[in-house]
Amino acid sequence: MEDKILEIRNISKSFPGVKALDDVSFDVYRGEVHALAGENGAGKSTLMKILNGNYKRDTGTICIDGKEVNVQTPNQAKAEGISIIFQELNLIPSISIAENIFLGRLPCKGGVVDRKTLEEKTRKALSRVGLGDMDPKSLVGTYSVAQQQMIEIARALSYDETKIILMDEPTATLTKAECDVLFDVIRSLKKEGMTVIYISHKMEEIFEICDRITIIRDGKVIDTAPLGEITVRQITEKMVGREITDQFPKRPKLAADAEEMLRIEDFSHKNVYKDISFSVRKGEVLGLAGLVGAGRTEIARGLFGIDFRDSGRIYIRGKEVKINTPMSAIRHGLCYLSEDRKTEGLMGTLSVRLNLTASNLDSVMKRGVLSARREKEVTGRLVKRLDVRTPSLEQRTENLSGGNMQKVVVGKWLNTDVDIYIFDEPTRGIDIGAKYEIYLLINELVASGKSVIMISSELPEVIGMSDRVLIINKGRIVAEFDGETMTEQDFINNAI
Amino acid sequence: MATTLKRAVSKYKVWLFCLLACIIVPIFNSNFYSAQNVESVVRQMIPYGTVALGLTLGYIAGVINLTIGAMLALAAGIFVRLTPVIGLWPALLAALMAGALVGLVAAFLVCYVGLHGWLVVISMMIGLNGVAVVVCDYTTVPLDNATFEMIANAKLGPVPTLFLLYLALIFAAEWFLRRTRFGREMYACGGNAEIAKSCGVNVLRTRTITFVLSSTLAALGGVLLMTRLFSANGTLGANTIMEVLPMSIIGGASFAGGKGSAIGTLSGTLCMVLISTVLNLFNVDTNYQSIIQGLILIVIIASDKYFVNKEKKV
Amino acid sequence: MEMSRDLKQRAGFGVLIKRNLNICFLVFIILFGVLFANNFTSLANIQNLLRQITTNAILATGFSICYIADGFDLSQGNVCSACACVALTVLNATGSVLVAVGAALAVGLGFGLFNALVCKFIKGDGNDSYIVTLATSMIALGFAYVYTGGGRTVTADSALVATETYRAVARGSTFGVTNLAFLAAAVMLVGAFILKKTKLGRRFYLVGANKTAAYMSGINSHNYRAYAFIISGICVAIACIAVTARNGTASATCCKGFENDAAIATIVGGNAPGNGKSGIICTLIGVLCLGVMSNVMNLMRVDSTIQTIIKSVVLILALYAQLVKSRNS
Repeated sequence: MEDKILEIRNISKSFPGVKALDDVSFDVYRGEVHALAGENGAGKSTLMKILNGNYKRDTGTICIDGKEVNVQTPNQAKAEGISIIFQELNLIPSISIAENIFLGRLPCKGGVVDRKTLEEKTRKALSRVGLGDMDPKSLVGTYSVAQQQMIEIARALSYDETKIILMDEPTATLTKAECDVLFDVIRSLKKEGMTVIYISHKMEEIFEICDRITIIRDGKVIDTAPLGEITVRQITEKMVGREITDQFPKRPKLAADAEEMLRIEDFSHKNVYKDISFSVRKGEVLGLAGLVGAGRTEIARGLFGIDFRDSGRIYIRGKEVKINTPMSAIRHGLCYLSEDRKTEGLMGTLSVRLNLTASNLDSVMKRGVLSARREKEVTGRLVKRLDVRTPSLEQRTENLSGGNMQKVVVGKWLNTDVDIYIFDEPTRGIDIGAKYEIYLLINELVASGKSVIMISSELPEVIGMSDRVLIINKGRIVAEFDGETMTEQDFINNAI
Repeated sequence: MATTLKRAVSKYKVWLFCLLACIIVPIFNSNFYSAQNVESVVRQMIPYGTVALGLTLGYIAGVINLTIGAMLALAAGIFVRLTPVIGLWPALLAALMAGALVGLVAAFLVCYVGLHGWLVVISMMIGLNGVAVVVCDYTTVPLDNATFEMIANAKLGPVPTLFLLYLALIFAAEWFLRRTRFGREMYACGGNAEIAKSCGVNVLRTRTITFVLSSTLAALGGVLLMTRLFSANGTLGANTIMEVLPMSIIGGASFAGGKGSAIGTLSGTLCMVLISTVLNLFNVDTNYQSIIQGLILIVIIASDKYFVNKEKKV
Repeated sequence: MEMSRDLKQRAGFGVLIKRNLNICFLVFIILFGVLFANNFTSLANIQNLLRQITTNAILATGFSICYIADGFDLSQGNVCSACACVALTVLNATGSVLVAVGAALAVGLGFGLFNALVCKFIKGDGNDSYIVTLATSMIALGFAYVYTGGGRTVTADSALVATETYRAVARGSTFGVTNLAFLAAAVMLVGAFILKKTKLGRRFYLVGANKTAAYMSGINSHNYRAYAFIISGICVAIACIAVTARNGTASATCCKGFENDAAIATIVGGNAPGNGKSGIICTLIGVLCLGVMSNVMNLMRVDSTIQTIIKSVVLILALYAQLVKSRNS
């Protein structure tokens, strides 16, 4: 009988409109490195936050060492032996390593910090991750992200009760060499009997360092298996595979002679993306598929002028243009709908009416002056056309549901004369009903002659809605497929 | 070799600037090293340096206490009015307690009620200014106390005793910031309050105490100012913020929080006092000095913020 | 879009008060004044009241516009003094009202532009503009001192014809109402027009609500905040005309601290950064609240320190109310 250190049973968690976790159950054995894999939005981070005490689970139990625990706060989680290292490092750069590790429990004698003990304890913690030479007094900010990650691990280890360390995408920003160092540390932790839960979607790493894997998709556990008995292909299938049903509205095939609206050539930025070139035609939906972190959002933001870009040329309708800011992008007919609607898409404290007209105030001017009546007309029409469910035009957009927020953002751009819509995760966090409406909207857009570039991590959505799909892998375009004929397998073959 | 030199210069740039000033200026103006001038520099540092220290403590913990100007005037007024009535030391205590009280109120509004720090500070400033004016009975109130004058003028050799006390205060504060748990937690709160809180630091309590400390130091500064002016009136603190803020920021504090030190503030204080002394030596019109101080502040803010926001487009 | 029936029913009296706290407060003080202050409702007092609030009304307009775009202009007071000194000096020197007004506008615009450029350069937000405008305030003070040769008071030369015309703004009245009121009303109307009827004004709301989303919607956020400061500078220049017309004198410290009253009026009136319901009407309510409060307290011979403290407390309460409102909605 395997020694189970962590037993997760029937965990479910719902948020308004979305079921993040659905009856999740799996076990983690003592001393193993257990991989937790799944695409973005699969539910991994929700599960982690429940384990860490940030969220409260709706149903289910968690047992550590056979004993049921009820973790309500992060401090409690630490006391029960769970230490989580999030992707956004929990370190304060302006204070020293020692102070970061022992923040809140600095050893002192009568209010004065006991420097000797602090230094000793810090060195001990650091040496467990192979950093025994680091100066405990040095500021955390002077170290690289990789090193800071090690310091975080050292902190997790500095709690004597720690039995399980959860690492969330630890290698997201590390070089190969830094990854190797991390893996050595994980191996030595294993030898000491520490259990590690390793969250990642990078297959090579999972196979290199982990013992078993649990795959999560759409909030459900798809499978748990030892890594010796499963292949990369099988894992990816389970991660992204869904029934591609007829849930996408049909539309007429793209005209063969459709005019080219946008062409980008040789887009590159540092090591985020390189040599990106593609074009989009009038009435076309171009899908950009890829795994999380492939660089698709960065390319789009570089195109729209929000982020800096090292190089690249842009052609609108065959003519070269310079786009360095969103203002110029919009002027040339481009718009970008961010995946983070609340902070980048909408002015939350303002009403639906003000948000809808934000990008084109000329549409509501009459005789050189903002006309309230015209504005009510225009926005009323938009709300009706998009079926935005809101008690009134004056409702603050921050109070709308996710789907309706997205509709308002789309409405804002519909009110302009942009020709090219870049959707970044258009249906993330939106319920099924509203999703379909967004798909219909996209079809309407292209039917009226607009072009759509759709970045999505939901494979069925990308395949089902796009005329063409580009697969981006580690910042490069690696394949192109026809939307009608592309299969999941094509994606799996190329996106990894 | 080159990088260590570069780093050393960067770390001690303020002291180097002061040193350079002390070397170069006397070449042009022989009065620089006159006993009178040196004493003037030293004496100016005492009250303003104390207030600057309070401001720096605030910045370290992520607390912005701009009521210091009004607090200065209020404390000076209380001190001057109460000394003839209840005696020197009780009056001092009363002034300091007023500082603590104001700090508590500010802390309550900002930390517990959750009001936007800046706005609260404006409102309090307005109120305190009014109180200061009335305390001084709408005029300038002179201070006439033999003991006080004696303390003010006391010297240890060529050095005013008060200056030595000020230095002692700075070193005590530096020790406090570096060596005590509370001091280290102040830096954590200013560096990233969320993370500090999640590690178990009582951010509310730390910030409240910092507010009280910074306000009390401002009050102390007001009393110390009386050792120079020997009279108080309600408009004393009017420009204090403008004069003291650069001392903190040049001394290493940052608007973002989590940075700064007592000795750094000392260097910033020395720097700003030297600048104003030099301007006086060269008979630069006091009115121009106001403009120059404002410009220095703009330059400091701009350079602090520009580099922080350079990478962002909006 | 129609409100659902139960929402209509819920909008009872309690909600009405909660949503319009600023008006309720105003009504409250007016009632208080009518009941407890002598001569509150006398014509002379009302005229006096009108005269007293005009400067603040003009400054508050500028302050509000900045505040809606998430900026603070704390330099209003000292810049106003500077404009005043320049205006009267130029008036005495040239004997032309037009040139004097032009000079005042130039100074106000200059400082407004300075605020604008610095805040734009540092890509700052509301907090940053706080300190920047404080620094500008200091520069303006110094400028005024230098300009007046060390804090002299400038007096409008009463021998000049121009002075009569100039001071008619304050001294004269039309239909029994002092001209100052018309000036303030004009400024407020223009301010309201800008905010509600122009693209410029609408963008202030958008930028103040979420400068990132505004940027992604095609609005150059930092430019618009800059424009807000420029408008504030213009308001300051106009306000100085009101001040100097009333007093006939100007000095480097004649308008010191005026920005505080502007801030109080703005906030007590119910304005908030990026809030669609904010606007000049809120500012007007705030100006009236402050004005009536001061007037009533003066009539009741309340000590001026107590007055200042009461103002402070009212401001803090207003801030608190705003906070509670934004948490609940």
